[in-house]
Amino acid sequence: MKTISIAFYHLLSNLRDRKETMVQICSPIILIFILGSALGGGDSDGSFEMTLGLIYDTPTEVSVGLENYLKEVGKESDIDIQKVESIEELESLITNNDIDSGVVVNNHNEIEVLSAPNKMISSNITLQIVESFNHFMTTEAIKSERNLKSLESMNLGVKEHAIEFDGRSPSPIDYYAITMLAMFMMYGAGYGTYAIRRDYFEVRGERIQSTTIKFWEHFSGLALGTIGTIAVQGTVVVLFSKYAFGVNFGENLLFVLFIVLTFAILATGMGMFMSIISKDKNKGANMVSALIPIFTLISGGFMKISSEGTIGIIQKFIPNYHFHEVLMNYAFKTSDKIVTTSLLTLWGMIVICYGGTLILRRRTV
Amino acid sequence: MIEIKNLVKRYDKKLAVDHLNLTIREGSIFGLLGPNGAGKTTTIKSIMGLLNVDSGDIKIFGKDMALESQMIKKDLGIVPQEIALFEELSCKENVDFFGRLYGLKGTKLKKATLEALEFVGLQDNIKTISATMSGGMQRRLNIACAIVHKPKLVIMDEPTVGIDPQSRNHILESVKRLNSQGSTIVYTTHYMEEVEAICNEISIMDHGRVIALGSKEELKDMISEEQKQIIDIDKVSFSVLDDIKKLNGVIDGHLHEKTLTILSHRDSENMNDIIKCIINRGGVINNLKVEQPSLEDVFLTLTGRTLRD
Repeated sequence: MKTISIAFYHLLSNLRDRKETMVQICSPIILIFILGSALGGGDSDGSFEMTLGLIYDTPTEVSVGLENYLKEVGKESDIDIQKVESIEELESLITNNDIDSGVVVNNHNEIEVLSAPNKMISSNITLQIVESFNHFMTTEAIKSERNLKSLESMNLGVKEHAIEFDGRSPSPIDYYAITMLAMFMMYGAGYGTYAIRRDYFEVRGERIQSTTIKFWEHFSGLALGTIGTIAVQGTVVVLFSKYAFGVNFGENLLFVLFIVLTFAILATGMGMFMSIISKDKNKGANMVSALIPIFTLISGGFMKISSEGTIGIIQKFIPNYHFHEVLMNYAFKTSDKIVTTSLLTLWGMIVICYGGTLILRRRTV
Repeated sequence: MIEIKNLVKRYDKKLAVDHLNLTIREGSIFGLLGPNGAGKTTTIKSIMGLLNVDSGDIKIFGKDMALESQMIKKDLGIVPQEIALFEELSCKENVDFFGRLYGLKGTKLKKATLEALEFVGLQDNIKTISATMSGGMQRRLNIACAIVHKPKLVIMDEPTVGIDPQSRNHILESVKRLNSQGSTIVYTTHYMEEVEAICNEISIMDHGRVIALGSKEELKDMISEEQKQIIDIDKVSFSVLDDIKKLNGVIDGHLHEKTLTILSHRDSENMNDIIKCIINRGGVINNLKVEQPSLEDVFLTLTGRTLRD
């Protein structure tokens, strides 16, 4: 009962902070609109048109497979595939705006995406498609219990397992609706640091602790109130994006809201954890403010970043990345495996954050 | 009501409370005084059960704080020095919240919330958001949150800091009323006149120990058995001073311009004789006052510092 009282009054107090609530709800909506629409392709039917250049010297399983894959994707959406002879020609075509983006497969089967700096959306979509192709190849290799290099039936595979865009490709507004939602929900971690600061490091907390409340009642009430705050704000952004901008979040809205709740739980836990490890009233909040834009950048929230190499490894530790992966792959039915893996990773992070907070909190007393 | 025995609390190498022994009687308004760093806050936090003490015993209502803190806390109310409220919540919601934490619910909670707000004079502001109220009103709300569950013991840590005189008077009156309704009050302040006005028992702490304990009169007696009589007079000759010095109880006297200062034993009761001497010598008395040692003097003498140091 006391837990519910604490949760309710913290939630009420947070939501009555009009300035912060407006920032948390309006800012992502405005950014989704600006980035999604103003950068082009904000139309809700997903009819984003682009021309993609493709180069490869030697026909290999990968290069031919990719060509077929691109053609398949091109049929389902408005992407034209144009075979190009050389990198120089490709660069010239991109510079002259004759094509939007280019994909190069070298003789070592390494794939590179080329784009003009002003073609961010096209570049993002191309990277998304190439990544999907990689996931597809890995899945095929596992399924057929063969080495990747021994794959011979790429054409059949592409037809059978081509990325299903559900009649539409991810438009920029779909992409930014998810990345901005992730970023602002992560900023909600600030509520977690604030809650810990007020209720453990400041006099209001001492006052609450001087009552007959038990530690677990206080902590769980505090966490629930903060989770509720972030979840409510996230839900408003999802519903507004879906019904006002026509953003595609997939078929089951309840599942999307479950993911939003999961991320709210994680953001709260991260905020609390940062506040506890910094052992300072303000450092935790400063850490949140500094880390969230970095998380967003590395996870490709501002622009799509290739998940190859070191960046790819770092991305695996970033909550925003997994949030993007879950929602994008769920909304566009790309890979159930990625949805499951990223969702489990988010819950793993939740366990670490809350476990760490509780252990360190005990030591701080 | 509160019995503290050999309480020791260290912060790293610093000894904050040094084998403190203190007994606070039920029904008193107990003033806890001391310069900054004397150990008052540590003592209060220990009483509230917020600190793990290094050694010693704290018994409240005859119960051991280390063993029965939940039982003790339900009859304990704390008014912190800083405003400890939810700024975005209304007066009623704030008091309701703390009432719930003390286990109140239903109609009992509603009644207690309204009574607490009425007690501090905020019955007309139940829907007012805390952040929009004046400092004085927030202080009163701070008190309402501490007394909603009608505690037997209320600890007030400088509850009048930084507020207007009207709100201060209201709070001091509330403290007296609370005490008359049966609550024991532990009161810390930097304002000596508040201690003089409301406390009937006072403890002065320094370096983590109690260095003086007693009623106001007992503390004043500790430092002085003399009183100063200051008389402003016209038309007086120096010969009056010789007459006065011969009077019973007079220790010394000085005349500076038109001000006559006489030092007498406190119990000498010689004021009438002094007045007669002045009149007999043709003097005209314009003003007359007797200066007893104040609590501030006591504090200064015992600690070497003023209370606001």
